[in-house]
Amino acid sequence: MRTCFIIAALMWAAGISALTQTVVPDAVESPADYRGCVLSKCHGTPGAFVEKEDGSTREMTVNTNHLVGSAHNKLACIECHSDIDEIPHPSDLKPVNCEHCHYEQNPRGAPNVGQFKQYPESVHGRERAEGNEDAPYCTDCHGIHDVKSSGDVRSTVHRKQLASTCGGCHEDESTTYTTSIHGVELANDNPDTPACTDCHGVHDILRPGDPESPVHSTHVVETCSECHAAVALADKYDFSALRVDSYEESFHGLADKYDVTVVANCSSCHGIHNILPHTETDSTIHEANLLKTCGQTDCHPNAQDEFATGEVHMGIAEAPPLAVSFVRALYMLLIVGVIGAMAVHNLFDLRAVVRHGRAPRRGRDA
Amino acid sequence: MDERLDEDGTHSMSDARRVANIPAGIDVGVRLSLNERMQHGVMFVSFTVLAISGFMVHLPRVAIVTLGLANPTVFEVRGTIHRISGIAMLVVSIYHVLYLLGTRRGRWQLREMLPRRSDWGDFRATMRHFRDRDAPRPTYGWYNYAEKAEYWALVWGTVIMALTGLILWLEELSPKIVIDVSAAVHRYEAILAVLAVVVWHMYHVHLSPEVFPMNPAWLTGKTAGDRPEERPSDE
Repeated sequence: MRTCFIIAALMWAAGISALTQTVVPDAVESPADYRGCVLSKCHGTPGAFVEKEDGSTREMTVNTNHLVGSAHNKLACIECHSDIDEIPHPSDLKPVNCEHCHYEQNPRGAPNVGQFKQYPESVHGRERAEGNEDAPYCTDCHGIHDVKSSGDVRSTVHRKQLASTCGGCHEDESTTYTTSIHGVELANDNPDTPACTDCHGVHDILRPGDPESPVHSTHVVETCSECHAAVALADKYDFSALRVDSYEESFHGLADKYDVTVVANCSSCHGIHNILPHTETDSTIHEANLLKTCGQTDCHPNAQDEFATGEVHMGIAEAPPLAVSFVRALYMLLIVGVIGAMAVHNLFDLRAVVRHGRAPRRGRDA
Repeated sequence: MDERLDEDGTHSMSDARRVANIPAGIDVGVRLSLNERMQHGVMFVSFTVLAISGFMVHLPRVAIVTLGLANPTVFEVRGTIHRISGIAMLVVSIYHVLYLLGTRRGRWQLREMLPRRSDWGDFRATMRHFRDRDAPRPTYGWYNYAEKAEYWALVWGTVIMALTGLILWLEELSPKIVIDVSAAVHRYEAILAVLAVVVWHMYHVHLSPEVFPMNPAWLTGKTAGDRPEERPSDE
């Protein structure tokens, strides 16, 4: 009975709007569409506001084009605004609950990537739960009536838009990122370069200081390794996939194995959002900036000039310096030669002792 | 000293030449004096602790996690223990040099430890003894060639490890190439030293059937039985 009433009301609203103005988009074919609402006086009038109980105002206008281009263009208003049961409806509708559709194995095929399990545990979800109104909710990243699939380049959560979407709140990081090699490559449509979510996670984003975060200092190496130790990418972009191995061989890497957080990881030297190739003068690992990078207050503040000169990812990625190779070769010879000779000597000694029956001296002396 | 021949008849305790040149005040009944045993004790403990706290940085990550060591404090404490043990070894080594030069027994021990032409002869005779059933085992001096080789290897190793260890400790003072070379030397010399102790020292003082389960000299100062080769030399 109630549904009949709502449909009737929608049709009535649609009728009014058809008489008054605006071309109804052809794309909208759903029987339970939204034309009635968005073309109505209420939501179709540009600049219409409603005053809420607390005195604040809220824009009522719904942009038709947003809905037409959205992934939800086949949905009726009430499918999201499910607490509407009469028209006109009260102005204090509840926030839309996306989980109505985007749950696991939902029959409509609405995308589910575990967001409802992950989001409440993420820094955004936790902040939101604690009453921080600035923390993003679904619609803050995905859009409202213009929500689109993340594969759609116009989507606010498409890889290419992430710096701008996340930058809505994280302005400095976003600005820095767009000038980094990763950001520049993303702007160049490079599909291999990381966008925000590739390092930070998506619905499970955590603070960098959270030990579970993929960008926590104990996880930076594995996060960067996903690309920088990948043979396919190394071949494609001509870098060494063994660079991470060489880091792990270094003293920094040895300490990192123990989850030491004060030791240098990838980003300590290469930067975070400002990563650039060493050839760029702004790069933290450009020759001219190396001493400053190594000499960070928490690292090697007393480093001398020569401290930062020489191969860093030594031994595996590049041939080690001659002196180091020489030391290794010399000691290999020494170890095999000396220890081998010792072992052989002692085996002969053992044979002689057995052969001559030289009993333990203690026994012989008795 | 009795006149008994060793069972292979090659040498006797009455070999007067070999006992001729003992300075007054040296008790040849004591293989290692209490002072020397304590030096050995500090060396033994610091060497072991240094080896463990040093090589543990090369444990695979999976072992570190399994053993519950994946903790910054563990790494920090490990480093501190390594440095303290390093200082202990350095101090006992410097003390040892002063002991060798400054005491009568020390000077005598040093003289006995110096390589001599006869060591080469002893070595060749020993090789013949290894090869031929009938070749007798030679008579060694107070220290045989094996012990001398080990002692001087230890001196060499301690100098190398202390030097490279200090460079790595005071890393900011050195160019990177010096640090890199020092790190490589420190690592490989450590492998060499530990293997030498396991293969050489462990055999001669513990595993050889002649001394098994051990030569007690490092605790009591005396060998278990008469050790005909342990006599002062005449040179």
